[in-house]
Amino acid sequence: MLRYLFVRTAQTAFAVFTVATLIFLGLQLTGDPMENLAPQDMSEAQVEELRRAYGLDRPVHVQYLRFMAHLARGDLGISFLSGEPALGLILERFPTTLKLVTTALVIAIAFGLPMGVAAAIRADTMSDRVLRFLSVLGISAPTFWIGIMLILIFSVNLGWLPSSGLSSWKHYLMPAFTLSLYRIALFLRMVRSTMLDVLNQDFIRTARAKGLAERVVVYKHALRNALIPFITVAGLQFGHLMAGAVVTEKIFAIPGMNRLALDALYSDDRPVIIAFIIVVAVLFAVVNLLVDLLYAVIDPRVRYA
Amino acid sequence: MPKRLPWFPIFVLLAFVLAAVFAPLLAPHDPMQGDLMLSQTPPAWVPGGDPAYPLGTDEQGRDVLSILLFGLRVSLAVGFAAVLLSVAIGTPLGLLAGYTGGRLGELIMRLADIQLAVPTFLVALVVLALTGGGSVLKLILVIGVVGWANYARLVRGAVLSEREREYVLAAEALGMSRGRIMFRHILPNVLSVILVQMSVDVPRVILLEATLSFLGVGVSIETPAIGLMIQRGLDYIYSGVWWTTVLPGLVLATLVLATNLIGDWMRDAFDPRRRAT
Repeated sequence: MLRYLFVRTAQTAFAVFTVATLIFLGLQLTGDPMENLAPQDMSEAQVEELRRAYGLDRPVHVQYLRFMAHLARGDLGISFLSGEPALGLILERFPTTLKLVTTALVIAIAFGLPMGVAAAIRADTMSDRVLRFLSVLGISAPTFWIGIMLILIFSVNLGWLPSSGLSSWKHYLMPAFTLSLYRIALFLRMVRSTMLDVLNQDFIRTARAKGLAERVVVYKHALRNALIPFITVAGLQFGHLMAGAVVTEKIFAIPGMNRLALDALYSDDRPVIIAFIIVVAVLFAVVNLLVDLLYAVIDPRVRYA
Repeated sequence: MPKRLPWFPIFVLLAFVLAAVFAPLLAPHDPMQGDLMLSQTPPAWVPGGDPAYPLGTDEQGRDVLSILLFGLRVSLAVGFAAVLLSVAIGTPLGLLAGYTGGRLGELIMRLADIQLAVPTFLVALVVLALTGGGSVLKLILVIGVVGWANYARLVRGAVLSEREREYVLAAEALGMSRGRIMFRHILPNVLSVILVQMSVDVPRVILLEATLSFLGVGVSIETPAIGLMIQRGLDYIYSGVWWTTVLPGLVLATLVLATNLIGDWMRDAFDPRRRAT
């Protein structure tokens, strides 16, 4: 187990290293940051001085080595805009996004999982067809549009819910639902199809044949097996939500890290963009590791030597 | 085929495609030329509406219906072209990795793993933003290139199980070239895997383009596009102008719904594992 953890941690570090290198190379290809950074009326000499201040006058390989050395120490540079450490800015906003995303994911699992099971055990009945159609509807509606529709209905017309910020539980309802709708639909579809696969297997027939209650067959035997792929997908969705709540944070004016990254993208604030991508890469790696460890808890056949 | 053809979604998609192709003939107005005197006219069925602008006008007096018709061109062009590009890059690489294997195959799959580890949305967002916004062509290029890995992975998997089949062994025994075996013999047999993945990706990419345009890094602001219209409409929802957000969103959702339903049907029809159950 310890050995496994060690290997996985090394793999994670290597993945982050690869991502960092790719970002560095990618940014070299996208042009001179000075074009956006320097005010229009700056003289040539002032631009050069600014360039030196950020170390952008050095040869590329020196910039790369410095970038990597700093990264190893958790230093991702100073925001071009605010002058504060880029990583600190992102991490400061991290809990806001985390709270929102966790709420959304809990909602998605709470609805998607039971609905998927219900659709599977009632396969090809009317209620299954309705649930399936609703789920296609759910993955077809654009997230940004759903958010706007909610604001139109609940803030503009009914005046029931606040449309921006996250200062009370009421503030969470619309953004969390906006984020979770697609996932509810996705989980429903996924759980339904894996449950159907499992329910057609021999050990389920055996369980039924030995007279177990249908409830026990479905929830104890079938669901437990269907949960394994579900955990992978849910884990992946957690990562995708953390790095993909941009639209929701923009529409509902939520001061999360995606919003910060989007503003940094608009203003070409590269250290903040890099810090965001690195944080996301680390997050993805950690989520993957947790998912793999959870396997062992749910599936006794999996043991990490 | 296990189920009858999904006629309604096919009809809807066909109608949208025809509307997009014939947009210049169908659109009652120039989608980008507005009449400021007529700005924010509500749809024709609402009091204050103008029959000349059936779905109303936006803040610059441009006809919503005309923008939607031309916007469908952007959605469909990006949706289909980007996915085709991903297929065109991913399929040969997957064939190569699966059939010839070796170091090159290993390298291709490692690259695919790296690509798959980062969400497409994030890569497209960052690349487009840092290269100063986009155009229809650039969106197709960026989304298409980023999407190659899934196809490479799927095709490789399918090829691995085809490689040992008799027809491949027979072709090898006859001394056919590897290229001929890969493209003429194996490819037709893994086509269903590619088609199923395409049917999942087209609606996803249509939404991706709309989202990127909504965030201001997609098509340029002079382009009539659905995502852009919703972005501009967002500024006016508090002043009672709902038609520039509700209507384009409905059109987009209907288009994506139709493609998703066709995709579901294709998956049921082509996936042999599902056919069995």
